[in-house]
Amino acid sequence: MALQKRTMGANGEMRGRSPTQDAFRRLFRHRAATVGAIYVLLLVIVALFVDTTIPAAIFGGEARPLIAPKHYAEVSFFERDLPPGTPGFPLGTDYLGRDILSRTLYGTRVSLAVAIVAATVALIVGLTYGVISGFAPSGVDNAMMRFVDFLYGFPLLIFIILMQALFKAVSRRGATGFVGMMVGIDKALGGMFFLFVALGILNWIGMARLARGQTLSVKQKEYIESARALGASNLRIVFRHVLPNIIGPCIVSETLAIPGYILTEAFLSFIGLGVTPPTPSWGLMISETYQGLRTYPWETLIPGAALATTTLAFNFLGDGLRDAFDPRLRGT
Amino acid sequence: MKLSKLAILAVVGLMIWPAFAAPVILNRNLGTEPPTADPALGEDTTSIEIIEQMFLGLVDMDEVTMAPIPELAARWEVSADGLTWTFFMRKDVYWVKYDAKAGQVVYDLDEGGQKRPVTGNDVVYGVKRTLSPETGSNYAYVLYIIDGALEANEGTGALDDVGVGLLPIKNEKGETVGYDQYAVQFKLIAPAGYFGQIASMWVARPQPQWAIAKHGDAWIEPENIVTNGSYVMKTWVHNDNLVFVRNPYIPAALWGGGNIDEVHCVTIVEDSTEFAMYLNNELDTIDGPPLPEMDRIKTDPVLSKQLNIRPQPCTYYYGFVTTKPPMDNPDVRKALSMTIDRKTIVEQVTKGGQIPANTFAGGTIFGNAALSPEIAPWAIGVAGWDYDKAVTAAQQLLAGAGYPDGAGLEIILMHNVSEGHARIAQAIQAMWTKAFPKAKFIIETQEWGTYLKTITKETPIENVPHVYRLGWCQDYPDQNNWVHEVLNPTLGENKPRLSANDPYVGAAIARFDAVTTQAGRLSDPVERAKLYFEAEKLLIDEIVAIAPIYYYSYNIMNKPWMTRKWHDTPHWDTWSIDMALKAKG
Repeated sequence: MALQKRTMGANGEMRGRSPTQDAFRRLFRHRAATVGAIYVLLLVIVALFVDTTIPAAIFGGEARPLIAPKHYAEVSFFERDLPPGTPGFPLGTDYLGRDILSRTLYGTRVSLAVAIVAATVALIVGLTYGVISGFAPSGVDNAMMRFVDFLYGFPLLIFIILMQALFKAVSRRGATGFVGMMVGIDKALGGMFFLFVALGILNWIGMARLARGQTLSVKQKEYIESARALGASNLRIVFRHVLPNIIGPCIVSETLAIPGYILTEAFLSFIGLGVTPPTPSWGLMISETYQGLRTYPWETLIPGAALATTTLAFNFLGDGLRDAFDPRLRGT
Repeated sequence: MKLSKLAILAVVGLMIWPAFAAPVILNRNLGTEPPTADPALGEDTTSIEIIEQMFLGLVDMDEVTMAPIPELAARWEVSADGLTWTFFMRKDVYWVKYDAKAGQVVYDLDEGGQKRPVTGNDVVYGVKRTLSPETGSNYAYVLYIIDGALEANEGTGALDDVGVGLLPIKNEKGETVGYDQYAVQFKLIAPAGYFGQIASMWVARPQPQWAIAKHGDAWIEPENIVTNGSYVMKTWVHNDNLVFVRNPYIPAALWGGGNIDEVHCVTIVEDSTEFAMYLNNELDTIDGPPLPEMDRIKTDPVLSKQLNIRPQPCTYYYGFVTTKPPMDNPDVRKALSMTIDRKTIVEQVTKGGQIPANTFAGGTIFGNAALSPEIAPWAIGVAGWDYDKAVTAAQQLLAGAGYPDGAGLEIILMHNVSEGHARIAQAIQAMWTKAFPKAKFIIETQEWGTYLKTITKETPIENVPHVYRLGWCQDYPDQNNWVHEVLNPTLGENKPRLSANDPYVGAAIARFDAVTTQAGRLSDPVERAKLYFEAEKLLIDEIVAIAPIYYYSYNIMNKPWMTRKWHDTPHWDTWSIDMALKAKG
């Protein structure tokens, strides 16, 4: 009988754990990250079912508020500025008598949509670009990275502001064909679509650099050499060996970038270049009411709190993910 | 014992010292960095406020009647045909400047070391400089009533041909033997009864030719500027603060009776910051507390006493671009105008004592038709109208125009970036959406400068919104400044792009054009008022070029120690501060 180092499984066989399983175990031992993950999950549920847009799209019918008690644009001039706790308005009403609870819940949709879409675009574009650059011959690599350096020279926020101004002008002028279709989508989404485009258009460059660096370091590893020796094609090496080994740090870095996207959206809406009113976004809600902070603090503080807790939750989750997938970086 | 006596003396001394020695300082927020201090170029209320303090006009406007009253001109004569106005100026006003080295206001001396009096030449130069195409004044048009002014300003005529000059002195034979340095004569193209008010405007004030020639555009900087008004500019730290000191040499008769020696101005844009500074005693008076604070101010026992509401000769309105479909149909425009619940807007959104408007010009303007039940009675809920009835009528109008329940209607409403405009726009968006549930109303915002360019009539039609927001404040209290200069299809700004070729209401527009032009050339007040009444009715009820929303009000807050006399443009020399009370506060 051979010596056994480990306890046996029930059936007498040793059960191994994949690195991913290990990572998730580490993640769920991280208390703050778990709380963050649960919070984000709740937000996703709220965003999906704040009204019946999704069921209505599938089964037909009109969209009605589901989780939110009222529609976000339901104005009642004579019930304006009510404090939280008023019957019928648990979190009070704003300056047009609109229910703050409903507007805050609807606001989740904008913030999460922006966060997820911008992060996904950045991840897909950045990862592809970075891996190609890292894997390509050095001449191509050099050219691709100089282009990224060039894009880095753009002041990101000013660029986004200019893009939004341009999109708004296009949408006012009206358009046909492909642009007309985009304008249509944007109007249907309450001004969110162009926000996605503006945010996604430059945010992938950081991801591209990270992915390229990771690819370069993985490329030197022995298992790549052996795969090559065995005659594996470049494509196979990328998909079987490189991507699985670099995706962890990339996802972690993108999760940590999400609060930035949410705050950028809030900022753009704050200066009037985000979603179009009356579509509620937390940034827009804050910008509309901050002047009355002394008199009606809840109108500003409630969306502010939603914004703060959401960015905090994403930060916790990102921290936990980093510790779990890249234990060497723990606590940094 | 000795020490404590000294201490008491010191404390008492410190307490009474400010009352004796310290200058009386007014802390004021101008609301933004003044774009200019040049009387020829001022076109916004901030620039005009500081120009008003630094430059005297031939005449001033009475605070109650808005009639011209003597300032630089001690008296004036109007010829029998109303076409020649002669102003006789006082001879005891001198050009002054602030001498930073000496730390005081000094006379501006000419090459010979003599004081420079303010003469008719300075007025003639000022008017011609404003009209010169090289100056590029956006306000030159108010002087077009002067003979040759329009041609000179457009470059088709010579400045020398403009009907302004010194009064010739004639001998017994009727030959001109010289000119009276202290009398200015204007020749007009029409007997405009309101020319006295135009003569009071900043664009017609004397300007120092030598200083402008020497320093060019920089002549308005504190080290260069030469002025003649109640206050002299001491410093101007751009985008931060300005300091003005009292002009000790101004004749007592031209001083407004206030006691303020120095005015320290800040240029804070944010209403909420301004209000916080006011609460903190860092400002003595403010011109507009933030909208959302109005409820608290009105219920607060202390703050409510500091609030003064009075009508302001300004109108808040939404303009319709009449050449952009579907706004080309007057029924669509009227339906939108009818479904603005003006009463609810002033009571629940703006909350500052504004008055729902049914005409363009408000109640203090000559020739106004404000609140007349014969014009757009649905806007003010008179003659049997209320909001529900107006909505029903509007829905019928829109259905008749081919948009039942607003189906197929997509309207872009644009306003310049501002908290207050955003609230009003969203309230109106909600009203329109409720009345026409199938229509789409999209709100867009732009920065003020960009916005003004977007909504001019030169912008390509695809770039302008369907509906734009603007406010108009009087330059002088006459309808000519309103329906004619703002909206006349041929001679006015005409942002709604009215044209006599309009397929729906072309005839009404042609009539509006004729009526407003004719009324500006007449001098009989009864006849003029009749024409302006017709113009307003055409404008609001038939052409529906604009939807007036409310007549503005001033919401001024004064600290208890602050006494602020009334003027449309502030006159600091009429204001006073009780320093003893301020020291306690």
